[in-house]
Amino acid sequence: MSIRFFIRRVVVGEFLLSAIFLTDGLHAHESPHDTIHKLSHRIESTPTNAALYYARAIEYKSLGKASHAVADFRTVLRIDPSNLNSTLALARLLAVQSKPDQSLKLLDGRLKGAVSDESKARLLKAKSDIYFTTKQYQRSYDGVTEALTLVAKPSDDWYLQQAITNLQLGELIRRHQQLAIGFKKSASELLHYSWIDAKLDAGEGKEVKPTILKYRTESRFVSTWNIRLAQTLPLEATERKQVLAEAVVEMNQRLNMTRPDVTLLMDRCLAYHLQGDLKRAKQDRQWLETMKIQSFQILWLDWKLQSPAAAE
Amino acid sequence: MRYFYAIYDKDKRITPADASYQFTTHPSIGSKKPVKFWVVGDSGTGGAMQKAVHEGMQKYMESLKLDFYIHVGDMAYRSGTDPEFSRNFFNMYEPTLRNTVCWASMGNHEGQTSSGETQKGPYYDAYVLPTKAEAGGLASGTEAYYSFDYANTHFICLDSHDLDRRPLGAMAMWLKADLQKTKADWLVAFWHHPPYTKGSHDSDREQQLIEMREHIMPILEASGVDAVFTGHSHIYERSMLIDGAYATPSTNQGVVLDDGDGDPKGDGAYKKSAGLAPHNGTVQVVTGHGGTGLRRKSNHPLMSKVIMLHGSMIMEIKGDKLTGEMIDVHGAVLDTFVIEKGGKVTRSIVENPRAPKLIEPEPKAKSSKPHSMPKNYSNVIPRGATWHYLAGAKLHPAKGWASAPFDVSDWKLGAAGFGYSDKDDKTDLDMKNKYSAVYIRKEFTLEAGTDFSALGLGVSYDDAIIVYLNGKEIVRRGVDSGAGSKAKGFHTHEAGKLEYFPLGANKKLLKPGVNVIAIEGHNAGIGSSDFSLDPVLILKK
Ligand SMILES: [Fe+2]
Repeated sequence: MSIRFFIRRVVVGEFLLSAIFLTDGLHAHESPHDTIHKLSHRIESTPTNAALYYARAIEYKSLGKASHAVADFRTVLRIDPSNLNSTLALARLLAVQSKPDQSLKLLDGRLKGAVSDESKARLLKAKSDIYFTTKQYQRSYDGVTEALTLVAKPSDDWYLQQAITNLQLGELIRRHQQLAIGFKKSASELLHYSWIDAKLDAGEGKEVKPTILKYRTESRFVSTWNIRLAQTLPLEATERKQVLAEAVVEMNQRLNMTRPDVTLLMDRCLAYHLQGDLKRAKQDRQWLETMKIQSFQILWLDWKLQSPAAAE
Repeated sequence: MRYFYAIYDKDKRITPADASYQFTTHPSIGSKKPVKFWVVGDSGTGGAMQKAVHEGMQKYMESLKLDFYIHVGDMAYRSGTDPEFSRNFFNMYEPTLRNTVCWASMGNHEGQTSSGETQKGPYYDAYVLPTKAEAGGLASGTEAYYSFDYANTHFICLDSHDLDRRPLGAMAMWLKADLQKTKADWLVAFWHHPPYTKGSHDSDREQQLIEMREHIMPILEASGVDAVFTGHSHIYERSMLIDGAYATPSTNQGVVLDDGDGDPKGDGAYKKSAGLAPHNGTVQVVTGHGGTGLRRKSNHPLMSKVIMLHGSMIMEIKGDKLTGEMIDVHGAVLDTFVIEKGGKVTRSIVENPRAPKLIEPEPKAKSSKPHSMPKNYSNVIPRGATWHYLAGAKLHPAKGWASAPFDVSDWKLGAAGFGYSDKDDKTDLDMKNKYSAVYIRKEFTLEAGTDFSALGLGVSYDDAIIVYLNGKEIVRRGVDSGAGSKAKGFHTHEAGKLEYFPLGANKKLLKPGVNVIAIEGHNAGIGSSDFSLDPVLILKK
């Protein structure tokens, strides 16, 4: 049993040095609307305080008022051109507004002055995101791969992005090799699971079958493990049919049909596909489409749906 | 395992030789050991209310020991800087932190100086959180979200502030994997931004809140989550038993499984199937009332209780029962809900569920200026007189108890005041943690020719009273509705000087000869630190 206790580190992070006392003088119990109102009032009297615009942009963003947020982030950058958080937030908003060129220009401009590896990495990752949305997969791969070399503790998203670009580029072996590096570095089980999926996709299911069986017995819900197990079994094997049928039954018990858990619906879509029930798989895929989910996982699902059901 | 410790600076001992410097490790995963934990949110002002909420919890707990506590974020206003962490978190909670682990989730205020993406900043310096499933659960690889096990309960902490909240983002994918693995009997999740609120924030209008509801709740409920704790909205809001309430705006149609109050002493505990059953109902608790200013926009339609007073939650999971109690600054229990698990409970929807119950502080005009006793009066029932009283666990009087005649042969006799702990009581009661209502009655004689309109009641009380004259209710203070065992919606009130209630308006109820006055006294919570009921009846001169 590990002992958890408070340990105060005396480290003053880089983040803290740029700390801005945004809400000083604002009451903490106010709604975003009130906060915006008060911030606007304060901006009138001190129109050159970048922190106020940044704070207001965040509130606008949380209310879904993207164009207001964009304007405020731009003002922050006029006053303080090196502000990293505003650069990244603005780049993301511009990308959502289908202005990838403006977004890339902004990031490139800021990248020139980037001093620390961490800022450089975050800017490169942001660029990689934009390239991905414009389907420039090689550039996206290069960006995220360089970013990964610059930071000690990259988040899972970064490795997952690298993996999906690999998939788009047809680099199935490199995909699982790099996920293995990620898993070793971060100890994230999600990356471990993604590595297992990547091994299956690369036709190396035999190697991961013992792990799949082990995890399956350790789990309360087994559908995802059954789906993975099925991919290690011959197409005509009775066991394969059994584990897939079992998975569908379990998922149906857990799915709220009015508004399903997307992660389960995606699994079920794949299970139907592996069962050869292409009609049901198509229905689930259409359902996912109506839910407007944008994710690497959906691209991966589509890749799976295009592949033949069996991958021995 | 319990450890005692001391802190040294080289050879110099910094901590005193005091047994409170200790901590206890978690029991082994899967064991059935009961757990008691504290949940508090939005507290980090360093101010008087934060202190009062902490003291209220300590008062309630007395000699009981917390196993750990959960902070749902905003623990270091205004920007989560290192000095703010010292002042508003470590210094404020020092007596508790000395021997109790705090499991934290990051609030938006800490998010101004700390980042979930990089796991850097004062928040990540202040806590050491598991990344490799060191305390159970599934390794997340990040301190921003994590899970742990305590005996047979699985706890999940998410970052609702600055990470991707989409259903196929890394956090959601990890959540799904974590949930399919756990074999616990109970499942509790916590984060900062509430999926259901109409307090200082609005879950129908703000992005983080909407996304946590639309994207994250379906994943949790498909795995049978029991309770979700959040903050951010500065209020106490506690839901009915709900499932599948993912729509925007939130509605109460088709999603409420039990619209009762979940209180075994009220509508009864919420029932769920044994173990973790998908879509069997969740209780949502917004505990954003830990210290900063409170605010309410409206009543959220999925809530059972909405309380506009400061406080925190004490949770207990014991065997097949989960009990949640909202503790105010006096240590009184203002809300209780219980989830009871057993057998198989079929999911059924309540059509047109009832509206939430609102508890607010009494308007200032009412509570701040009680009338004081008149200068000249004669006693009808003097102070310290002997009354019949009924007091005990689950003891409530039969119908007609407030009118004469009534059989009081199984009631006790005692001198007023009645109560405990605040030393103003002649008749001491063993109420604490056993019962919260006391009934007293006394007959009195009025001569023919008395000016009935001069009758008045003086009473010192804590927390609430309902007074009856010859069977008719004439005064009600601090009870929103109902009476006796059905009394509901208590407000706290401290005893002090006699407060005066002129009864002249009720003179038609009186008659020459024998009359009866009856009073029920209620404590706002069963664990409250004190109780008082000390009446006199007078004729004003
Ligand atoms: Fe907050």
